[in-house]
Amino acid sequence: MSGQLNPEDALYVDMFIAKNSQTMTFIRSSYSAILGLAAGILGLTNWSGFVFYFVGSAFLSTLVFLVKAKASPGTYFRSPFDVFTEGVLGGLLSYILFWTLLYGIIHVYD
Amino acid sequence: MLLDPAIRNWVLIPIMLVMVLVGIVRHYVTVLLNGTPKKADLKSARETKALQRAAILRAHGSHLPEQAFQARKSYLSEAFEKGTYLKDPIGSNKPKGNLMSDPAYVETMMDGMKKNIMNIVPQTVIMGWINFFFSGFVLIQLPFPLTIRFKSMLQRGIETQDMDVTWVSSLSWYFLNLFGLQSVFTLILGSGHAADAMRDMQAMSTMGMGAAAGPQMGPTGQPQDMHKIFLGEKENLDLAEHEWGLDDVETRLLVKYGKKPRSVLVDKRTKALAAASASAAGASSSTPPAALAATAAARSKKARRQV
Amino acid sequence: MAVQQAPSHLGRLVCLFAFLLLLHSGYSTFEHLSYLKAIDGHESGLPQDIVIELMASVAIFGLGIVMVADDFKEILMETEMAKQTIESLDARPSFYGFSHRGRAVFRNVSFKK
Repeated sequence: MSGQLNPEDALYVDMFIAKNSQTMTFIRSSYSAILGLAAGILGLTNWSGFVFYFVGSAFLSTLVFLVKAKASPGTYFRSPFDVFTEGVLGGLLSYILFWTLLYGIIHVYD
Repeated sequence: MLLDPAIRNWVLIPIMLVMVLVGIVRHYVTVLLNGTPKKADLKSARETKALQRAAILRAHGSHLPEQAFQARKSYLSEAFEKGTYLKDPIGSNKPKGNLMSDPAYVETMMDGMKKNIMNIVPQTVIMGWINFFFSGFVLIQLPFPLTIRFKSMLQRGIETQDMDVTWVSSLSWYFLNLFGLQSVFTLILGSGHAADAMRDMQAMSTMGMGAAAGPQMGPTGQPQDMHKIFLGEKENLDLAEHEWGLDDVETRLLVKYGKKPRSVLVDKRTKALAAASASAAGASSSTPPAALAATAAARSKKARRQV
Repeated sequence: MAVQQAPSHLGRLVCLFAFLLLLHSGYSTFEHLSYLKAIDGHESGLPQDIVIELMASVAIFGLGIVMVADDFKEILMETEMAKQTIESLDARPSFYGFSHRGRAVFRNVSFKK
């Protein structure tokens, strides 16, 4: 292990940072799956599909910000913008999977 | 309206189901294969922890008074130089050539190989199964467009030239599932599951450096020379300056409660900086003035933050 | 720190309800499209009520999942330390021991004054 320790790190409880990040990932991935199902049912294609995902993600971020982080994300995350950006790209892949699945089942098959 | 629903019942859903089940089975097989976590070896653990101790001392030395810091610094420097923390003392001849004889090293190699096998074998088997049974027809339409270059990859086995890229074969459904099910596995199996791509990437970058049970291995896979590392750490330690956090705490307290103006702190900082640079210019010291200025700036920043 | 949070039953109920709503709207879409195919009609977008039901289910699921997930924990060390009592951190000074590694570490130190 190299000797790169930042004294500022002593201010934070590492375990809680990791726990919060894990909770955030859980929320995002389950919600991305549901968003994918909804997009497939609606029959969205191309750009509207991706726009739907980002709008849905933003809606989830505001919900988390208001309900879970009680409007002060700095107490729970290192950078207050983490609430809005964490796990979004990871959720995109499962969104695409479920979007394709439902789109195929409802709009392409007989 | 465009495809036979039998394809949906017999290909789409089964492929997804099989991949989910294989993922779950692979997770449990990995858990069983790994068995109970190994007991850490005392000497290896001591080696790593001694290094960390020196790093922690350098980073958080401001919490200790001067004498405690100096005592630990001199003790650790001496220990690193003499090699008291090394797993194999310098005098003994360890034949470096024949690594296979060291049982701990073999263990580390076996662990890495097991993990690789558990990832590669199911992927290859499922890909072969899909190519054998489910090739030659269009499976699904992707809702989003892709460029022409993907056509050869996604429509393997379908010999049409004009069909647009959104209609894809079963293999591309396999790839979609491979990436999309990562988060589903995290949801079902908890965060430490065996199919985690992030963990694979981390494992590849820190090969062999897991628990303190295994011997230390460098990026090339050769056991690192701990003595050289210890000497390097000793150099770093010798350069470390001590900076007591409670140095001017009275002034800081008075400033915090408004009994003294904040300018008092700033004056102290500039005076200390001037004195330090004067002494550095006068006598030749080992730390360059740039590092000194950097530490002084960090000092004032820390004081401003703590106040 | 290792105490599990009590599961939020209301949150799970809300998630289940939203998921059922989603399934229902999915099935309605499927039926609607089969109906259109049966009467040879052209596709003209989904009926309004299905779309509204879908959007409502997505929003309610968002609410539910936020309720179900564990609460966030504050990350500042200060707030965690504020909850500790002095007894748990630094107790019984009359029971200090002196047989520790300080004996080795401080052996060769000369105290500069």
